[in-house]
Amino acid sequence: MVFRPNEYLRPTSIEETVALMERYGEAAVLIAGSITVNELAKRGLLSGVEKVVDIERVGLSWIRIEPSEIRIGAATTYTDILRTEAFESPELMSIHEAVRSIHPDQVRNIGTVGGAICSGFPFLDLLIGLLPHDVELAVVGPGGERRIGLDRFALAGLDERLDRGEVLKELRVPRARAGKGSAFVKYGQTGLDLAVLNCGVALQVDGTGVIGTARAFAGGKGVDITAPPRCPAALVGRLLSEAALDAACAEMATALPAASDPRGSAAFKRYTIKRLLREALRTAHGRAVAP
Amino acid sequence: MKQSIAFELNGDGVRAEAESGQLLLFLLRDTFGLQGAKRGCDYGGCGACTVLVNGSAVYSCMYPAMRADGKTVLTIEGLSPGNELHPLQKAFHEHWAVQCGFCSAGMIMAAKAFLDRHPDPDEREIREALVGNLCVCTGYVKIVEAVQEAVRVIGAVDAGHRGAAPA
Repeated sequence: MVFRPNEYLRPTSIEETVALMERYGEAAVLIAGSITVNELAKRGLLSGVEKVVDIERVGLSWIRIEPSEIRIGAATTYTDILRTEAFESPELMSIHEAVRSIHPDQVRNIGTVGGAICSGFPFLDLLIGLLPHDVELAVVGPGGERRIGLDRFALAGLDERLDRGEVLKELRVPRARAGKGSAFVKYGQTGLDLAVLNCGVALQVDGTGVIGTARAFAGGKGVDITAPPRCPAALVGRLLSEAALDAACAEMATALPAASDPRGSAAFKRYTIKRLLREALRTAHGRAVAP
Repeated sequence: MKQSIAFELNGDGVRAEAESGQLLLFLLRDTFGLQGAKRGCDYGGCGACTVLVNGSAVYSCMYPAMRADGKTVLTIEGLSPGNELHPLQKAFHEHWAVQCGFCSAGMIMAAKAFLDRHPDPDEREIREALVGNLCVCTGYVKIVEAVQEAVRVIGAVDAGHRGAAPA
């Protein structure tokens, strides 16, 4: 076993967790579900880590449905999200669909929302499913609590996201006004596959059918999510039309920062993301205008 | 550093000394001698190491042993007390769902966790539930048939119990 930490710590409060992470810095690794840490450890990439800080007993596994927002504790599992009906509403469906696309149950049962966000892998589906929703993160550190938008957090480089001692506490997902629809679509090669490409979109449509806001994010293997393509401006202020869809999807596909890899060339990824985005946008629009 | 943990293993309260970086699979196999859960891919992709923790299926090859502390762990060895086979084990045997057998324990435990929550699944749901368990021998047809048979048997037993209950 390459991974030989000398102590497994189990704090019971977020303050205790912050103190441990501040004290040990990079000599400690925090685990919520343990999937990412396990992957890194088995590749010999955590050989300098001396302490494991397991936050399972901190009490960050919860979903609180409030009038204006849904608050999700960072240690909430994918399974918990799937079992929460509120995420199957038209406006938040991209979150449900993103988790539905994660297989199998053995991963859903331990994988956490916080892990999906903090690990920074661009192919993780939940991050892409959450990004269209103006999600705010609450991060607790030695200096207290700060809030940061998920989009700003996700777009930061991995080393810049959390300062020493900081811990992600919760996500705050705004509850939608009427007329919002969202969708998530994934392209993988097998039922267990990580995303070659994925996209999450959300549209807000007014009573006359005019699109007020449109947010779309694309990820996948070899996609640089720290440099996302612009949101589909071609859709905003208009009724949905084939021409507007074509223009919006082409605009985003052209700007997709994709690299060629064994899963597909950059050109293939741009070609395919255009079609995924089109499907996601049409689905989200249908949900936004459904009575 | 070793740390003490206590948990329920196949119905019995147990104690163990776990290494900080140890995974549950190795605690089960090396400390307790329970070799039903197999070491397959090591990366949470093949399902051969599947066990139940607090009733949920997990890959024991990526589950910290320390996390078992205070929980209930069920392995294939504890699935059915005594010499009687669990309906899933019996159905796997009778439907030729076992060839080399390497995947079988994980497959059965994943199916057990699934059926506990979804007692009347259709074929598509069964296939989706087992997507995290790979078999390179059977082509899955016999495995799915076995799970369907277990659904019928468990359902009939449950119906019998309900019928016998006082009104």
